[in-house]
Amino acid sequence: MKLQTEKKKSHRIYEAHVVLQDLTKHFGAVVAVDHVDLTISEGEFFALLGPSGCGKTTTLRLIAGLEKPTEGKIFLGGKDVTNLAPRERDVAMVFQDYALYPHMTLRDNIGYPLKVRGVPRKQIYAKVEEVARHLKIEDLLNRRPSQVSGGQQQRAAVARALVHEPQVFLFDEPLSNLDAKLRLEARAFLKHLQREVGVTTIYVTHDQAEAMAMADRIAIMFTGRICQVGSPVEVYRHPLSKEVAAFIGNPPMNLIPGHITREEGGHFFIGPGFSISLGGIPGAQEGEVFLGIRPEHIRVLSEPHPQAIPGKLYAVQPLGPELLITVQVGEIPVSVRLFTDDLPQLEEDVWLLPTLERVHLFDPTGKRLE
Amino acid sequence: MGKNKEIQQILPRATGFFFLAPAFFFIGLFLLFPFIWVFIISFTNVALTGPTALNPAFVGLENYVRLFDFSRWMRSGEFGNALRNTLYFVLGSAVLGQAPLGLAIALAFHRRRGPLRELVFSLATMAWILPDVAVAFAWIAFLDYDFGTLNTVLINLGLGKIDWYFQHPLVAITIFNVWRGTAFSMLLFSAALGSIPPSFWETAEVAGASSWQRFKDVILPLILPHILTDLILITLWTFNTFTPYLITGGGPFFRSETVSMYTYRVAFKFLEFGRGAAVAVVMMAINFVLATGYLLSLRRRRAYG
Repeated sequence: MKLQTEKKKSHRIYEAHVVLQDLTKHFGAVVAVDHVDLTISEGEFFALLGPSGCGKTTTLRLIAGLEKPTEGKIFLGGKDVTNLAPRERDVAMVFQDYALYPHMTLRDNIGYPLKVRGVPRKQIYAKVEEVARHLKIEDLLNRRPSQVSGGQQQRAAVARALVHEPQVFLFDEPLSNLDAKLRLEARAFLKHLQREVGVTTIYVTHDQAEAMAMADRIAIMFTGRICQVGSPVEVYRHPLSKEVAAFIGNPPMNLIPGHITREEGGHFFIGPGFSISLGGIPGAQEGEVFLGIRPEHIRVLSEPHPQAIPGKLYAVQPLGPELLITVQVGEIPVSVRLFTDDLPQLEEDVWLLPTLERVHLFDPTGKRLE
Repeated sequence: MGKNKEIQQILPRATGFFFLAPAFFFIGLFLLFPFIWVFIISFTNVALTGPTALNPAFVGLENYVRLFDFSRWMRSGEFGNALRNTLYFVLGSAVLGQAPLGLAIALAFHRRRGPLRELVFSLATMAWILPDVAVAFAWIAFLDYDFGTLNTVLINLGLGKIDWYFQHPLVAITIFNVWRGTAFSMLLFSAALGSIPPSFWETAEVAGASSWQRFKDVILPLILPHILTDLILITLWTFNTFTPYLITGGGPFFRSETVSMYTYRVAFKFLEFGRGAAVAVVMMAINFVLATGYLLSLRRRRAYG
């Protein structure tokens, strides 16, 4: 398959390919994108992740040229495109609703970007056949969008983005209209395809699992600002703020409010109705904190333990390969994931033993304490 | 469509008809009966005054033959003349006037909010909903040779006065009708454009299409059914409109007389009901053809599912 230039794939240059500089967008009094700086490498699969209304789609639309920035600059492939129209930017965008034209066959839909560029019809159809064969929709080319399934529509939309070999792919939540099973398939398909064609891809999603599963790097946005950029493992293991910690992971990180005191024998975390030694946690200081612990870094005990947090068993959800247990600690529900398919024998009173090396501390403003 | 069979009856059929009976009664009384009556008297020589008022007689197709007497029908004041005027009037004011202008305004303000849009939409809609007599009077004043606003403007532009009613009566009522009716097309196209998901032309925009290509390839095919609907509806309405009579009275010398004015003149000025009824039947036949076209185009609209 020689869809895209092979050389891009073989020796990835990883130079800055998309650069956002101090990018800001106001809609009236609303600040949708707030001084965003980003550098995305060539060939990278980059996810913009955040809750709805965080400005991730606006950022994508700014890169596409569908919105004009209030401030800041956008560079694509080293060229300042801030004031260029979308058609001059050589990007392709796949929308959430796919935006396939109902009055055109899939063939004409996919070939449309070539048609508007004045490519001869014969060449268009040859290229469309090639791309469609690759995406396994070559038998559907004579159908209209309403005559194919959602997953096939999605492939057709991707094919249309692929057909004119753009510099950058922009995806705006392309999987959110698919049902759960198709979504998993499409994730793998898109990730594989992106690796294969090696085109720089910016992917907007509110689904952290999707971003984690597909992206080389993730930028997490809240209220127009980027809070953290990193690989999926980095943002998972080392969230820089309470918000990021609570957004990534399913179920997300447990956050227990309390404070740290210093006594003989080291630092202690005083939570609602309990106190545990943090031992030699570096950087622990006295004061109000949030103790963060991921559900998979907790063990459930049926007897008291000096280092365990006492709680009341609330619910046990067997999910097949794992168990999801919810325990009430004071007023706070704490999730625990156990990688077993055996239902444990548990009384109402349980004790939660956190793995201390995997505990995170955040100050009252939400900033990570090192 | 097959689902209709599954709809459960919530009322016995007889009760349903009982509730419909008043509507059927009034429709029969005010629509069906006059329709049939007009059809019948179009074959008679009934008039309001004179000998045939009391003793009308069936005259067969005489009224129709007289309408389509081709040796004289293009003379001024005859049916052919009115038909030709109507054709120009409908083509000029509806097909070439209201529809393209309405589409242009709708496109210009598509995805744009703000005071200018509100102003334009309000003014156009007002022109559409004001009472006939009021707007007719306003236009008589507007187009007046000596004191009219339009001529005052033309003079100030150094273009000289135009005697609209005498020199260009048909043009005058055509312009009037464009002004009067564009709002409908504008609102219809505005709604049609609003129903196209923004991602449709944004995709085209990112794909590299120029504005013209976006319009031609994406917007036009998607609103084509609405354009058909609009054209047929405004053609029907313009064909039947009577308001221009209040401005020109069909004159001078029948130069702006349309078929509806001709019907009125024959039936209510000459008071020859039989002849008037014949014209009305011909009008209804033309309307019937237009309406059938409209309904067929509505049916075809489901093509894209």
